[in-house]
Amino acid sequence: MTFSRYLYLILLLAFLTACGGSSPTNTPTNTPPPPTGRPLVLGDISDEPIETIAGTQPIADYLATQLATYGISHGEVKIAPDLDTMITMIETGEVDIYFDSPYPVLVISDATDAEPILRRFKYGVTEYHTVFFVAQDSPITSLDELNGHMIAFEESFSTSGYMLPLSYLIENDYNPTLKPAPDAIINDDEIGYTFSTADDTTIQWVVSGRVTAGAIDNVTLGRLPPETQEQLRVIAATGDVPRQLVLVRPGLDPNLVTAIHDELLTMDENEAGQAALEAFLTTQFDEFPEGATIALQRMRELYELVQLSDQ
Amino acid sequence: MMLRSKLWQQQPLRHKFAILITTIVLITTTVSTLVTIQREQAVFKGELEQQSQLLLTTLSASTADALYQLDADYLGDLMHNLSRSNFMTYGRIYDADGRVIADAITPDARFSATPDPLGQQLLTTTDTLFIWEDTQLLAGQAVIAGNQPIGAIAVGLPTTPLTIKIADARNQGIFLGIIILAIGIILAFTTSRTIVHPIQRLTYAAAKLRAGDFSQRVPPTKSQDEIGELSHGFNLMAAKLEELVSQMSAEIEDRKQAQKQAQEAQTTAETANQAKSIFLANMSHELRTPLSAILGFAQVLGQSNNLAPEDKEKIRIIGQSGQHLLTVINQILDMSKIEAGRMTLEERPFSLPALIRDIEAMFTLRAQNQDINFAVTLPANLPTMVEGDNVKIRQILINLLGNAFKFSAQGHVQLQIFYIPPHDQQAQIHITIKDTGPGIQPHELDLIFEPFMQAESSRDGGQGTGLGLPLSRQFAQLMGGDITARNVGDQPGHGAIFECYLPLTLINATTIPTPSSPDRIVGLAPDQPNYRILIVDDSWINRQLLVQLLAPLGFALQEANNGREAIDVWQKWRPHLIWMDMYMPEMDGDEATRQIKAQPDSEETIIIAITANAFLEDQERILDAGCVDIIHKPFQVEDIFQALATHLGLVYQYEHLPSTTDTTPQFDWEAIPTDYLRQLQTAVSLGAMEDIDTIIAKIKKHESDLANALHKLAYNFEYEQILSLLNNHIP
Repeated sequence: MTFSRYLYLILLLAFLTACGGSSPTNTPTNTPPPPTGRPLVLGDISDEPIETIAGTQPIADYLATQLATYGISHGEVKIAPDLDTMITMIETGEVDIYFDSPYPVLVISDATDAEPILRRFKYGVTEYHTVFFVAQDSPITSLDELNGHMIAFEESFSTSGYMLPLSYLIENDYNPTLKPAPDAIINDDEIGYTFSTADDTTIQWVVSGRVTAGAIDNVTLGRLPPETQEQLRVIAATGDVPRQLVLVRPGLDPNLVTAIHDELLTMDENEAGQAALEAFLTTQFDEFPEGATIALQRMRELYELVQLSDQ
Repeated sequence: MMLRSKLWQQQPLRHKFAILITTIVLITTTVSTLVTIQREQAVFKGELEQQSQLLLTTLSASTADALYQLDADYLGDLMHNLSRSNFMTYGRIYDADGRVIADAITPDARFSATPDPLGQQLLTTTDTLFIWEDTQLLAGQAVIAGNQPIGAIAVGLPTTPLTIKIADARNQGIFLGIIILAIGIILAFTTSRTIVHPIQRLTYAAAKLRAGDFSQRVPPTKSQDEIGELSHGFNLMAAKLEELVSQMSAEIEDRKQAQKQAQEAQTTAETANQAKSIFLANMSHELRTPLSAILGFAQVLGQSNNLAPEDKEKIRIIGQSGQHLLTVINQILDMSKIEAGRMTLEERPFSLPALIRDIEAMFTLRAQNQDINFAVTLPANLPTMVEGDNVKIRQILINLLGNAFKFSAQGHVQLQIFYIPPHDQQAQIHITIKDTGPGIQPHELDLIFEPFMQAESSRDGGQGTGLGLPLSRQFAQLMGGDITARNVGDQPGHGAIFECYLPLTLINATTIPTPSSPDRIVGLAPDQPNYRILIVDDSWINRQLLVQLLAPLGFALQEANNGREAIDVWQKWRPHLIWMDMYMPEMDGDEATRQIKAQPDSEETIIIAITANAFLEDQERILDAGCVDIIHKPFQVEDIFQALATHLGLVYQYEHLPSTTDTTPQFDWEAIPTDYLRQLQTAVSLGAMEDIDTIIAKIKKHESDLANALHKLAYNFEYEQILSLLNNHIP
């Protein structure tokens, strides 16, 4: 979202407030006393930092409380606008714990040696995969027919909206080619792809005919109303990957890492932990069933395919 | 509509004031409220349209890039955030084809492949589109990039504030209306007290005035306005009215007094008139009874074959003079009829020269006795037969001539007849009677024709009744003529001249019946029963008259002097028929008839009344008593024989007397239903004039000539002649 858009939005909200909204009351805020220990910092990448902070702060506070014995005085949330910023934050130790889907986790891990320690059940979903879809009235019935056509991905650090569909196309011997815009020229021996920046936009592009197909995760597709789903037709799907992973920065006290690991695994067992999980849109955390190494192996293969494609 | 108008008119003034003011206040408040609401609506709509326009402008600017990119995520977030404000009731962003990209209220509406109609409409509209719905204002516009629409935006803003404002305005209006209404009612009653109460006082006073209380006044008011002027004017009017009414009351009292006096005078006059009627009735009876005997015996003698022709002529003159005397008596009654306006003409065909010759014969004898000359001059062209009331013409001549002879001690009396043939007007005769008497004093020329003026004028020839000249003039005027009087040489002392002119109706002489010599009855036909007949009359002469008339026919006769004797004779002798005089001492015929008819075996006795009374009410009384018929005195012999034939079924033997001509019309009596004849008989007997006319009208359908003849008879009240005709033709 560009600055000008935000500016318009702020103006609009201000207008609405002036028109019909009630004027906010300026209540004095009680400034908390300065912390004595170090904070536990949870990081995320988001273009909606306020909302994201609101959802993440409870679990940061919970963990800080639980880990006070490790010199943690309080919890903090830091939002990065993009993946590179987050890599920097982790490298500099500004962020201790990072939650995201496999592809950005693998990118950061690859860049910073940070280590995935647990799976996160975001929205209660353990694993997910990507589906390729076209408009219901589209003549395309399979990926083979997508040659010479444009497909919309979400963004370049998305697992379901980039890594999974791109690696899937590569593994199946298609020739996905990045295009700068939806209406760019595509050769018949390639499948053009471009970024829509959001799953909703991907769907809209397909519906509006701006692109021939789109790729989004199956969970997002399943949450669409039946009427909307009826507008779309799935022509292919990738294999499953964990929905999200928990990444801890390198250099963090191993005891603290273990304590974080343990606290996350058990926080769904107490009331305070459940409240923090609910705000974080998460039902629980768990171990990789087949072990972290094996679990990450498949993802790393796909990641490498994508990396090669990018090069 | 008329009912509502009437209802309004019946309302008291104070109610009308209250209703009018309240209505005006209500209308004003309602109009004011409606205007306020209308203005609020207009202002609100303007504001809302401005707000929606501003919102659309802002949204267009903030979504143009995203729309170009079809950034559904951003647009969805935008709509989602806008929906949180609860300010919008509708919010949609459309792509370039009108598909919904984002929806603020129902996010699931997005991603539809089908274009939205509103989106499509907005894409084709260059200006902002405003659609007013019940609960919201929909506003939308296309988003333009370059010259091409890349999408569209629609927003909906609630009209709830307007509804609230209208409700507030309405409530304020109602509240204001109640307040103003209360003020209006108070004002109405205040006005009522100020205006209506004085008017009510005026109304009350006017009502009292109308009811007759002319002393009524309204209390004086200090007010100088119209009400004050009205009150003052009312009091002035009431005072004037009281004065006028007082004057009128006095006048009315005077008039009432005058009316009362007039009424008393009228009562006195009516009493006197009644006494006169009684006197006339008595005189009629007293005179007719002896006259009846004279005439009857004259007729009896006239029937005799043993008299010399000159004796018969003398007897004829006796009868004729008696008839004249009877006519004079009738004149007295005629004057009463004239005074009552009931005198009618009895017109019939007659020979005018014969009538004059009769008169001439009558007065020639008198002229010889008085030793004066009597000259009669007739014109050569005098019509022979005319139609008119010969009795009255005869009476006029007798009166005028009698008058001339009375006052001419010597000299002569001249009767001159002039005939004026019909030309531009009806034919006339002029009669001039000139005498050599003392003439008439000028001041008496007008008085001699006034009734009962004999004593003053000494010119009446009516044998002392004082009615001769007045009756003559009345008769002449009744016939359309007149009589005037003057002196010879225009000065008294040389004689008087009476001139009379009369219109004449000429008729064809060949069609006129001439009096025929009747067949004379000489006895009863063979094989007739031997009837017993009782004659009841207190007058021996009258009884003898009937005895002389009936004895030659072979009837068994007995006599009774009054009603009581009649009853005794009836009980012993049981006559078949009784001739019953009605006016007798001791017991009159009316009572005797009633008592006889009250007996169980009286049915076989027929009682026929003989009376000199001419009044119809007496006839009804006589018939009610039990008499089957009435013969009036002086009767004709034919009347007696006809009555016997009718009621006893007698058949007579006649001696036929040849006649020169017999032109009596022959009617077809057979064509008339017998019922009609019987009904006419009853109606004539009762004198029921309307019934008579009705039945004659029925008869006319069968025999018009007979009906005309009957009508003429009925018109002249010749009921006995009608009855006689009917008796001859009813089987």
